[in-house]
Parts: sequence; C-alpha cells; structure tokens
Amino acid sequence: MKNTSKSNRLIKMPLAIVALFMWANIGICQSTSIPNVLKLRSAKSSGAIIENDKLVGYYVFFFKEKEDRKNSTYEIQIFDDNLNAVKEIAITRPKRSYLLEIVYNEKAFILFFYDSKTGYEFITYDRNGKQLGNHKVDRKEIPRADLALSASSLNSGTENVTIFPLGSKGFVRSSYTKNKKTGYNLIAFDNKMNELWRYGSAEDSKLYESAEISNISDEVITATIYKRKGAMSKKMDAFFHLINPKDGTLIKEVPMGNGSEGKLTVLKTYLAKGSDKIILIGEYFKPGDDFLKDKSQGLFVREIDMSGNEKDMKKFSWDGDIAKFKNENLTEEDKKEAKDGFSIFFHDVIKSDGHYFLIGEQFRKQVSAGGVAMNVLAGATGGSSDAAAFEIRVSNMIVMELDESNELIDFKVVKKKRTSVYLQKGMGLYSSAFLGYYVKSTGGFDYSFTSNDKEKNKHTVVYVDANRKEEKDDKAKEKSDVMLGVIQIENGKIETQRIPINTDAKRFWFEAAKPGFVTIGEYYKKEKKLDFRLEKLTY
Amino acid sequence: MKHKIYYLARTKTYDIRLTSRIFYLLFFVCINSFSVLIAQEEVRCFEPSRLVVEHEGLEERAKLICTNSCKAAKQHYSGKYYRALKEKYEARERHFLSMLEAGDLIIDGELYDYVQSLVDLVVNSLQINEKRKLYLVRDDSPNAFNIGDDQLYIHLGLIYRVENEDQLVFVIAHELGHNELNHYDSTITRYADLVTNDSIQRRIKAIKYQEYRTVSTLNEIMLPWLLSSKEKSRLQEREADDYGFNVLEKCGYSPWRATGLFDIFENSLKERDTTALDLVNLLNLEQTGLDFSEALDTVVESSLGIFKEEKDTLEDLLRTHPHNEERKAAFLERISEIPKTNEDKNEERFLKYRSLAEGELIVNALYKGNLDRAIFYSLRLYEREPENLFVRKTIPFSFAYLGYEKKKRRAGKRIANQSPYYDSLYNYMLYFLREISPDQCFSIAQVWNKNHPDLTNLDLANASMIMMDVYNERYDDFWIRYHIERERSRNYYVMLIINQIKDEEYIKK
Repeated sequence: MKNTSKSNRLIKMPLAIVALFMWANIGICQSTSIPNVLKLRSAKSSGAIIENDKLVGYYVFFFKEKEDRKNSTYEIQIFDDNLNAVKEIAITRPKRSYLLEIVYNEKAFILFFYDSKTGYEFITYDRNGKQLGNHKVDRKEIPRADLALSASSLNSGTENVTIFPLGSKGFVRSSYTKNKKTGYNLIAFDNKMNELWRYGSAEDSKLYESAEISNISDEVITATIYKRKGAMSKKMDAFFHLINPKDGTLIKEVPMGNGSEGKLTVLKTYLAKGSDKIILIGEYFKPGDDFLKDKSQGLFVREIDMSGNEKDMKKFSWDGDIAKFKNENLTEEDKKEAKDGFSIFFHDVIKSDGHYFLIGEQFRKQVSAGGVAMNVLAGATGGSSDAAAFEIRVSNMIVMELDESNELIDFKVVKKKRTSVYLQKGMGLYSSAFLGYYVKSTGGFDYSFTSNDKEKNKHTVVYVDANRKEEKDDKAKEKSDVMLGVIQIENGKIETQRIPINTDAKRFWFEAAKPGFVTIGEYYKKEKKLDFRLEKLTY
Repeated sequence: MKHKIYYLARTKTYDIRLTSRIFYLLFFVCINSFSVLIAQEEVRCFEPSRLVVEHEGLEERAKLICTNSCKAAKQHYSGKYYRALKEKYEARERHFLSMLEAGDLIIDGELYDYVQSLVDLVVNSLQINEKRKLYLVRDDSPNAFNIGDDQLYIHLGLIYRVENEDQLVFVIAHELGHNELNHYDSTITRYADLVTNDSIQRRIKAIKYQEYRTVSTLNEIMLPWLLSSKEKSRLQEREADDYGFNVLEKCGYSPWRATGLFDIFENSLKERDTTALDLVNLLNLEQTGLDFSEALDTVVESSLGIFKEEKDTLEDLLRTHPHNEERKAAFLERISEIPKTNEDKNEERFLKYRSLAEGELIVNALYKGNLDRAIFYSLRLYEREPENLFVRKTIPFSFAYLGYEKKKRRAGKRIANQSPYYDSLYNYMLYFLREISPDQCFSIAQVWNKNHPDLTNLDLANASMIMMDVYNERYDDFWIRYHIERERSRNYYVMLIINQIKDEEYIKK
C-alpha cells in the first residue's frame, strides 16, 4: 500500500476527527474557517483528495447527529486546492463510521468508510453529490491483514492510499484476501461500483502474498508483489507485475532476482504519462541474503519497457559508487556518522529535464538508551516493558540525481536535525529495509509531501526540520514555531531552503497543498474554531 | 530579506544624536507639512475617524436604554414572558457593548457628522421630538439595521455602495421606520411567545433526553415558528419600505433617484466596481525591474471544476427580506404616481463623503489585517482620485506589510482565498497578491514611493517608509519615523502593525 504521512509528528496533535456541534458554517474570510468545532478527537476527520498522485482538494468529515440506534448523520465538506468550499454531502452511516479515504477521478468521488461492526463500505458520488453506487464488504469477510492496515491508519493518523483512479471511468482498490493463506486482490470498479475485473493471488497459493500498486496509466498498471512462506518468515521474494488496466490481465511478471543471484527490492517506480518506459529503483542484495534481515549492497536503477523487457540496469554500491559522492559532499562529522551506516528510505522520484531525482531520508537502527532504561526499570520492579532496546534514528534528507543514461551524478545531503522513533518490542530483529516501511506507517519520517507542477517543471519536496532555529546573521538565534525544509527542483536544478512557520494557534499541523504551497491547519480551542490557510513556500 | 534582529546597544552620544535628529526632523516635517497643505489646497487628505473601544457615556446610555425597555415591558408583561423580553433587551445591550469594544462603531468625525445630519433631517421632517442617534459600523457589507433602541446603525459598506444621497436617505428613513413602527419589540415578543409556549418548550426539553435525531427534531419543531417569523420579518420590511418612501418626499429627496437602490441590493453579492484592475500600470510593475509574469498569468479555475449551484428548497421561505425584484416593483408602483424629478442633481458633496467611507473601509481592512480588501479599496480610490494623499500612502504601506507577512509565512491569514462575492476579477487580484514574493511586494512599495516624492521627501508620516526601514535595516530611521507615527492620534491601524513588527523583530534603540 502506498502510505502517505500527512501529519507532522513533531506537533503533538494527531490529525483528528472534527466533532461539530449542530450545523457547521463555512465562512469566507482570510482563511477557510470552520466554527463550532468542539474538539479534535481522533484521526481521519480531514484529509487530502487525490487524483493521480496530485492533490486536487481536501475534505472535512464531521458528525452531525445520531439518526437512530444504529445510524448517525454526517456531513462531508469538500474544498478545492485553494481551500474554497465547493460542495457539501450529507450522508447517513452506521455510527462509529470512519472515513478512511476520498479519491477523485474527474467524474466521481469514492468514499471509503470503515465501521467496526458492519465492515467496509465504498460509495461513489458524482460531482453534484448524487450517489452513483455502493459496495459493501461485511466485517467477517475482511481479512485480518486488511483490518490491521485500517486500524494502523486510524491510530497513527497516516493516510494509507489503497484506492486509485482508473482514468475517469472508475477506481482500482488494492486489498488482502482470505485465501488459504493471506493473498492480495486488485479490484477495478466503474463509477457505479460495478466490478470490472479482479486480479489477485491464486486461491490455493501456499504463500503469503501482498501487492502494492505503484502506478496506473491508460496503458499499464504496475504493482510489486511480495511472496513469503509464512507470516513470520524473514525470507521474501519480490516480483514486478505489469497489468492491463482494461481487463486486469497480466502483461508480464518481471522477477526481481532470486536467492542464488541476489534479490532486488522495489523502493520506488516511475512511469511518466505517455512514456514507453518504466523506471524501477530499489536495493540489491548479496546472493543468499534476504531483504527482511540483511543489509543491502547498494541501489539499483532498472529500466523496462511496457512489455516488461529489461532495457537497462545500473547498480550503485554503498561502499563504492555512493560513498564516493558522500565523501565529496559530507562534512567530517557526517563522514564519521556515515561510517556507521545509514539506510535510505525513498519517498519519491522526480523527473526533471531528463534527469531523475530520488528523494530519500536517512535512517538507522540503533540501541535505544531510553528503551534499555525502561526495560531495566520494569525488570527491577518485577514487571515488563513494551519498549524495544532499539530505536530508529531519522537523519538527513537525501537527493540522488541520475542522468539520462541512469548514471549517478550527484548525491546531495540536505542536513536537518535528527529525531528518534521508538520501536515496539521485537521490531529490533528486522532489517533496516523493513523497518523503513514500519517507520513510514507510523508517520515517523520527517518528509511531509511532494507537490509537482509538471507544466512549469517545478517540484517541491517539503519536510519538517526539528531544528527550529532560524538562520540569522546575528549571533542571537531566533526560534520559529516550526521549521519546514523545502527542496525545490526546477528545470533540473536543486535549491534548498528552510522556511520558518509561525502561528498563534497552540495546535497546528501541515497538510499537502498545491505546488509551491503548504496548507496549515490551526485549531483554536478557546474560540472552538478550525482554520485552514495556504502559505506559499518558495518565491 | 535583511530583517536581522537589532540588538545594538547605543551609547549616550548616540542617544543625543538621535534625539536631536528627531527634533530637527519634526521641525522639518511641521514646516513642510504646512507647505504641503498650502501647495495642495485642493488635494483631499483623509483623516480616519478615531477608534473608540470604550466610552463611559455610551456604555451608560446602553444600560439606560436597556433599563427603560425593561421598565416599559414590565408595565405590560410579567413572569416568564417578561423574563424572556428582559433577556432579549440585555442581549441587545451586550451586542452593542461588544461592537463598541471591538472598535466597530464610529461615533464622530466628518463622515459621521454628515450622515447624522441626514438622520436629523429625516427626524425633523417627521417632527419626532427626540434625537435618533446614529452609529456608523465598520463593516464592508451593504447593510443597515435598527434594534429598537432609538438608534440607527449604518454599515460603511452601504455608504460605499449607494450612488446618491437620495438612496442613503431612503435607507435611513427605512431604518427609522423599523424604529418608529416598533418592529424590534414585535420581533422579540414573537420570541417571548415561543419561549412561553409550554407545548413547544416541552417538546424542546424532551430533545435533551432524546438520543437520536436531535438536530432534525429541533429543526422540525422550530421550522413553523421560523417560517412564520421570517414571513413577519418580510412584512415589516415592506412596511419600512413604505415608511421610507413617504419620508423621502417629505425631506425633499427624489424617490426616482432612490430606485437604483434595489439594484444595488440585488448586486450586493458582487463587487461594486467590476472592471479589471490594471495592476501593471497602477503599480508601475515595469519600473521595479522584476518579473511579474507568473503572478499575472492567472489560473483561477478551481482544481475540482465548477459545481452546480443548488438552491435550498426553503431558501425563499426563510428570507428575512422580500426579493429585491418584488421590493423594486412595489416601489415603482408607488413612484408612478409622482412626477419624475430632475435627474442631474449635483452629487459632489455626497461623493466627497462616499470617498470618506472608502477611506474608513481601507483603515478598517488594515486594522483587521485584511490586506486584499485594503489594497483593492485603495487602488479603486486611487483610480478615481490619484491626488488623494491618504490612499497614496495606504497602497505602499499595504504592499510593504504584505511583504513582511509573506516573510513570516502568515500571508495566508492576510489574503482571502477567494472573493467574498465570487468575483472573477477580484480573484485575479487575489491570485496576483498570493503569488508575488516578499521582495516584489517591497519593490512595489519602493517604486511607488519613488514615483510620489511628496510622500517621501515632505511627509515623513508615511508608514510604508517604516516598513522599508525594517526591510533595509535602517533602524535609526525606523525610530525617528516611529516617534512621528506615534504622535499621530488617528493612525491606530498603523501603530498596531508597527508595534507588532517592533516586538517581533526585537528592534531596540
């Protein structure tokens, strides 16, 4: 599943359900303001509306009243990318409904609800708020892995994207299945929620299989398929599937190495609209090593055509090709740290002026002084602690640049303050590659979002820097409320900036925004008011 | 931007130097301001009305009005019914005090005196013995109201929108009609009827214990009362229109010239001036030497496209006022009985005061930090009155302040997301204001001041220069101008901003 962290974990305020009293009025003032917000209580009340990897708007989902013993009435307010309120949809849902996702495909919105008693419901609406169709999945039918994903999404305040637009004709959803062992299913629906096709793992498969959709175009759907023998097995194989979006048939399965020749993982793929090639970026491993427990040898960039045939393959070893750049760019302090070995989690791939820019974030597993101390303390009092003896240290942002022939030509380290993510007991046994996904799912990375203005060839990567000190000429440093880091890639050139953000609200957070902007949500408890404003990041 | 924190500790010598410079410059300003006044005899220089946030006399007056209303009510009503009325009178007092506290009321000044004189004219023509006090309300919307307290409230936005004095007098007479016909009392007695209606109250009380459909049930109970209340309100508006029509003639004004008012109300969801602002020429963008093409290359379409507007089924029934078309038709029906008057009345006096209302709206927008409104009103006024000294200063000041707020990444609070009237040309200006960089904002202010040397050379009380001092790190000059600004009693809106910047940037002497 594609996982997009939308909240800033430095701000100790989870994105939350907005509980509103009676009617909410959207006022038009200097920022979009929602009055009568009594409390912000749990995750998933507001979020971005995504259309083909592009933010097109926002939604706020709020409770209105209890309809009867089983149902409640909710309202969904939809805003465009300028935060202008464009539509309100009133909806009656089983009580304790959570809105997990809203996806838009130019003609229809799909709303994905989760209810702890009744299960999943997918409802589509046209642009005028008229219901087009719905599809229910009874709770008993939902595989445990799927439920776990939804629960983690709700608990951590992160947005797991499982639904993708299928052009403007419908949507594709990626889910788990209850086969002999857990499998995967990609199900395509039209805008009226009629099933178009289904593509998934074999029902009698003896393996644990999961799928992660990476790209959808008119010509192809690409997905990475992971297979392993058991749920706890640390041996895993990856396959890259090219699927026909018209009928859901497999075009080609591209193997990603094997035990004897060395395995490959897929960290990110890139498929440009109208392009005839797909770029795969991932890590390669020594023969016999496995990506759930062993350290990779380096990064690879693989180019395949739309039929799945390999066109090019480049490998860049950590110790040779990449270290060379690191040494040129790093300060002495960074070089010292680099020796201990950081892994990179890739958040995005940007194509600009024929070059690929890989946006990553360094992290490494290390012994947690706090975790060890808690265990010792718990042991001393005869109890036990859930804290692991390890933690994840999240470090600098990385921008790797590949030229037209996929050669690594730059490895840029963008410094930011290091932060820690504590691991749960037992998590310390997994390799860094796996832990990267874990940190991502908990919203632990500082990376926030990327916005792309393809027409102007301008791409903006936004992250949070825990170092809140502003750069001033004066010796006395000033601290902003929060510091955003911006990596801007425009016409193939990289520029970095640190942007201080100030607010008078005690609770505030960031959301993805249209290119060049960030959306700031501010909650004023005394006034019971929720404000959203757009701020331009770079000028 | 070079806005570093200014921490330098000055020596005594410096202080003496600075003080003597201030005296010298103040002397220079006095001499030159005098010469400016002489040289620009015909030039309008707007002085904003003073900001009043507390006023013992008005507070006492409000209390007295409330007491008198309660006493009058007590003569006719008792028990629960009286308590309901008392509650409303007290709420009215609180509402008045909250407007006063927020600085929303203009209680004196040139514009105020003018409108009050019109109120007096209307009152005298009706031989009403007591004075009807006026308050101008710092609000952009074209509105006026009366809350049965022998006082009239006229929004600045209404004066800004009306086309002639006849229309303004009609509005005054209409509001006076509400007052003299006791419409407010009639409204609150309907409220008292509701709260003393045991059957309704029992049903409302039951909702508290109802677990489901609380909002819907409350709506169902309240809807008949709400519909009848709104119907009554529309009836009162018709009565007030008739009252206004009668008064208009008595005062020597022409109902013919007032007819356009209903079109103004009809267009109240649009900007008054709907022509495009020529930002390139008005702001001399080419002279800045900076590239504004991206900011001018507007894309204002919504990312989600245009949605069909839906009319609520109850919309017509829940209106407080009849449709403007209906009001206009009724007005025209009556007007047909009287001869058509001369249409070419000299409106110079009225237009002068309307400009003052525009000035007040600019001040209010700056005070509330609504920079798009401040810039919009300023540019519109400048288009018509390029010699207006006040607006020539608010334009560079607004841009310099916007530049500062952009640096602080707070411009999102200062620039609206969209026109409150869904006006595409206004949205075009908003897009421009959102897109320009802080340096471009400062550059616009700088070029503006350069093109208007009288603002920089002769009149040091040009607040944009203070912003530029911060931008250019000329802190000595900052303090000089700061002291000059502080001496000016009517520029509260400037001091609010300057003090904020002074504190935020730790600018020390």
